[in-house]
Amino acid sequence: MPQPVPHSAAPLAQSARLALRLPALLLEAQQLAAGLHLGEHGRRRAGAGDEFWQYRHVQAGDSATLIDWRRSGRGDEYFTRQTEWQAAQTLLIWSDPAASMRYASSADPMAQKRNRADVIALALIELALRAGERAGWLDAAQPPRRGVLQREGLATLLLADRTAQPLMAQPIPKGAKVVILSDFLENKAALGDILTAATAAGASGAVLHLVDPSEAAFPFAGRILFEARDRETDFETQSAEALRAEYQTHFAAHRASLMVVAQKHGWPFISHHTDRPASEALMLLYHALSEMQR
Amino acid sequence: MSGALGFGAAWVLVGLLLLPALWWLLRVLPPAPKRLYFPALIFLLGLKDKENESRKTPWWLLALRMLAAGCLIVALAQPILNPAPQGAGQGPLLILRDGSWASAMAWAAENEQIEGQLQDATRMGRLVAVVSLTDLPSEALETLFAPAAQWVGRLAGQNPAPFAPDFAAVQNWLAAQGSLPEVIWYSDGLAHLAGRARLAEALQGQSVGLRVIEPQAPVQRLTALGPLDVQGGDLALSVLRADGPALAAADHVVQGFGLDPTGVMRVLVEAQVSLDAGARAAIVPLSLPPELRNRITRFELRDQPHAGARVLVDDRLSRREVGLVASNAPQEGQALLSPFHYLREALAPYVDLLEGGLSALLPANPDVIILVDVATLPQEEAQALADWVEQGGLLLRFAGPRLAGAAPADLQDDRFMPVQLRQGGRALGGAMSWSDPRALQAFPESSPFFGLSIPDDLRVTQQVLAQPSPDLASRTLAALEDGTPLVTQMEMGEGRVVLFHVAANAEWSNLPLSGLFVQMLERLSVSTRPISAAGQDYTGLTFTSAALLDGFGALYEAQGQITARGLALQDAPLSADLPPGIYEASIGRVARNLIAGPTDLARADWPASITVDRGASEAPRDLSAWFFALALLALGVDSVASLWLTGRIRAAAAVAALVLYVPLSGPIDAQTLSPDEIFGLMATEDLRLAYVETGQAAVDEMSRAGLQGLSDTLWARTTIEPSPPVGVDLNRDELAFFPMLYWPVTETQSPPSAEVYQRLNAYLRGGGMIVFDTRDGDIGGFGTSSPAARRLQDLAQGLDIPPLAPIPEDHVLTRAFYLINDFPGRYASRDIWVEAARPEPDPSEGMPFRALNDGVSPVIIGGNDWAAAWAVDAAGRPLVPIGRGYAGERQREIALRFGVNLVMHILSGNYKSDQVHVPALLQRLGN
Repeated sequence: MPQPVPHSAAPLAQSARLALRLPALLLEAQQLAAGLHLGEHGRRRAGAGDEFWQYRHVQAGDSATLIDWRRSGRGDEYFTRQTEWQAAQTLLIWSDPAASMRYASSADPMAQKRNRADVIALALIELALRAGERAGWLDAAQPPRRGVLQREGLATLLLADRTAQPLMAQPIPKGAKVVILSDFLENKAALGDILTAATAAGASGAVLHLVDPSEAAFPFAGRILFEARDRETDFETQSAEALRAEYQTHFAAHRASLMVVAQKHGWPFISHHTDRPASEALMLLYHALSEMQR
Repeated sequence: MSGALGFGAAWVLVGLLLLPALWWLLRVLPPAPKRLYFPALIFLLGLKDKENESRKTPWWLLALRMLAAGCLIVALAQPILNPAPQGAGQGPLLILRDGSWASAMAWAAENEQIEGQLQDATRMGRLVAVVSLTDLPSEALETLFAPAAQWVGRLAGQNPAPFAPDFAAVQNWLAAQGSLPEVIWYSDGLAHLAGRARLAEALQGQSVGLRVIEPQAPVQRLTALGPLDVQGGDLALSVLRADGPALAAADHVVQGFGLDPTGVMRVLVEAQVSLDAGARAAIVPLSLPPELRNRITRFELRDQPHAGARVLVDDRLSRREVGLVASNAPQEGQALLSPFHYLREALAPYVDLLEGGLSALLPANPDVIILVDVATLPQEEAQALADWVEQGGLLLRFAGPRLAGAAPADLQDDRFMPVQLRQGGRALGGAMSWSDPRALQAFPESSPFFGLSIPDDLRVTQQVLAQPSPDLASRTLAALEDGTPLVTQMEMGEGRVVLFHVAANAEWSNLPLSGLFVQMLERLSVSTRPISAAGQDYTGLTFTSAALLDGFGALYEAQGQITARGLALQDAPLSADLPPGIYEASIGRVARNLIAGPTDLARADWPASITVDRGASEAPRDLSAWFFALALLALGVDSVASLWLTGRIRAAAAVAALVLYVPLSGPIDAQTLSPDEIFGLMATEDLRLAYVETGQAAVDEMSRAGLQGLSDTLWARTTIEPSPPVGVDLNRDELAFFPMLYWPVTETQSPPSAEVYQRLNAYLRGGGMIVFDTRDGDIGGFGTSSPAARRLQDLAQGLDIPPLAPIPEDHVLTRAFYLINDFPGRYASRDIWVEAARPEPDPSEGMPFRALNDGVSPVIIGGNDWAAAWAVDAAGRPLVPIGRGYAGERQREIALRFGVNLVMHILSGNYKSDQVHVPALLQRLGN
């Protein structure tokens, strides 16, 4: 009787666990994206593209090779076949890889800020790719590309450890859309850097500030030792509830300062609590991005 | 009921004074801080706590810990509920107990109380003796005193006796023992025979102190069965109970036990009886058909486990069957001259009489056959009668004119004659005779009639005479004054033949007119009747015990243990030498019951000077275990609560841990699983396909790979998502978990053992399916004599397989999931055999197949080596090349489709066949 082989090798188990994340993320991102329609992405004018746009009477100056003979054969007039202009735009996303993004006040791993950010990012990528645009990670060396294959490639990159990567691994193309997803706890300065670089390149975008509900509400009470990641800045309090008001003041100030930076560059700044549905943030981001297109 | 609480080590309670100190200590020590990873703590840096004092332990946690500490201290102080009252103190202790049948009612409770006394005595270091008054020890009392701990073990050996104590004897015995220490007397609450009060007074004078304990509850519930009253065919039992201040109404059930026709002891009759409030007796009338009545051996009161609630039934209750045979059909004449009249009168009240020819009677197998004045018997009837007698029958013959007048040759040939008769007989005291009618001699001691008194006016006027012979004297049971035999007897096989030398009517003697006639018949076991109160019937008989009652009312075999002579059985008081039970003698079985006559269950009457502890005082109970448990529980709750407070577990988990706390504290080995359980879990957590391990590694590996390929295909294409396949060792593994067994047949396989066949058949009957694969589809069609096919025939010999038939074209296997026509594996033979379909009507019009609804085939037999076609390697690539090129791949695909259909068929049965109804259903819905 063969026994089931146990997963003994630790690295194997780790990668399996990582890989388990991916289908869940992709699935959730696809479900998110399915709620939105792509109507606004068409350029609504004739141009270079694959989709049929209209038949147009042949005008003087049109080359004979442009004539659509199949259509023209049905009547006495000559038509050319025009396709819809599908100028591809570039969507670059920066999802903060910092360790603080892993924090979640609830036990559900999908409630981690990082997972929420990844879901939203993948959903945006899905939407962009479906609209025929290019998408990519701001901090990855791979250039933004089009097509369904790109989605898988981008998702795979999520699995890699990205903390050591440069903030901007590639030049931002002119007119690109840049989306920044972060809690700005460990990488507060990144906001300014990206905004400056993007504005310099003529790109626009949006900022999503991810907040865990416990970070906003500070629901702690009693004697608590707050551990930092480096364990050097551990903070112990005898009565956490007494600190709540002051904490909240500091937190609000932090957020306000972020908002000021974003608005200085004319980028919409969206705060998202991870206990809210991800579709909320996606909708806001989506509209912020599409409004910029108009 | 006293709910008193005592302590075995009260000084430990001083420890309770430490609790305030503990309280203070616990208050000062704060719980450890909760540790929490919090990335946003950068906003906290630089903040200051407003209050600096240490946080207090929550009051409820403090209280919990105090409770645990308190319980621990109390537990160590040995708390005892209902502590036994302190007796006279030191010195030896004598515990007396009635040990009667009435004590049996609450014997366990009494034992428990005595055990409590013994525990106390152990604590005090006293010597103890426990004496049952119904079982007085033969040795001196001093030698009995032993440390109380020893008596705890001996208590189990004491049992209640099925009789009452003889208080006078007890008094004599105790008087011989000199002065007594402190005495505790456990009474059963009944007066029994006189003398209880006298004994109590004597004890009071003789001992250091006397305490009488007489619980009230058992004696109030005590109910007994009075003697059985037989009135012709009707029976009556009386139900008695002891008197008391407030007799409540009570319902009881009387049950009659006996062997049923299959020889099993069971309740044959049941009757309800209600005792009204205040009433002390009630009568239960029972009217039973003779057949049932003959079977009953004892009556019991349900839920009264003592000897007083049992009435043993002897032969008196059973009615024997007696056949009466005359020489020929009754002649016309006066009734009083009929040879049967006196026999009928004597026997009818007590036996069931059968009359008729011998050939008609013998098949009914009566207990006794009486031949009245029959001289000759036809040859066949004589033989049949001889057989019957030799098997234990009692043949009773009466003389008469015909016997007296029979030819000497006939008399000589008669096998059923205890003595040789002279022809003619003799008449005494007639008008032509000199002699007077003769009276009877007293019965000799060897005669069964010994002890019967002979009426003075008994006279015999005519008799048949025996030829003198050496054994005449030994065969004579009764004789006339002149020594001529009146009754003779002869053993014959297991039975016997008894001849009365007079006629059965009053013509030859006035014996049939006398009461002696009836008594003699009774002694001969011809009839049985209620034994008269005078008891003279028992004179001269010796009884030996057959079965005896114990104090709890249980009947046990005791062949020959007890011997009682004659009247003693009836009159002597019950004792260890004469316990109640069933006794046997030549006349049959006689029951001696505990309550034999009119009885009044009187309550014990104690002298006024003695205080009787009537409180149903409960046995002392040691509560320290409970306090230890409570302390442990409090500590457990405390540890969980502390974890929760410091944030190491969350509230839900804490509750779960609390709920699990008790079960988890059970035996550790509950966590370890046996190999069988591991196999069961493995096989049942997911659906698994299984194959039979043949023992040949290559075949087994191919089966495994094949089922793996099939599992992969099922996973990819259907909602069946099996786990990796399992090899099954038929000798070891449980089969019931698997929906199908793939069994590749190899030439060298040895047939399974009988036990394995049993399990395989159980598996098939339980809905399992076996797919036999002879893997020889290339050699020839199925049924040809390939080695594997022969082996399959051997294997299948022991299996419970229905008739098989080649798979029909419209079998549900062709459409369970895919529509397929062929069932190829590595080979593409069409010979697949499945359970033969029941003959069904031809396909109805417009239907592509017949409506074969039920019956998934329990076996599928083929030779196409399906496993090879399905087999894949670890990477999912096909293992075995099939056919050539595209056609081969197509064949593999069809093989896989067959596999899918097969598993679908197994799992969903003939669901697809039911689909034929769908058009009709849709049409009906549409309307």
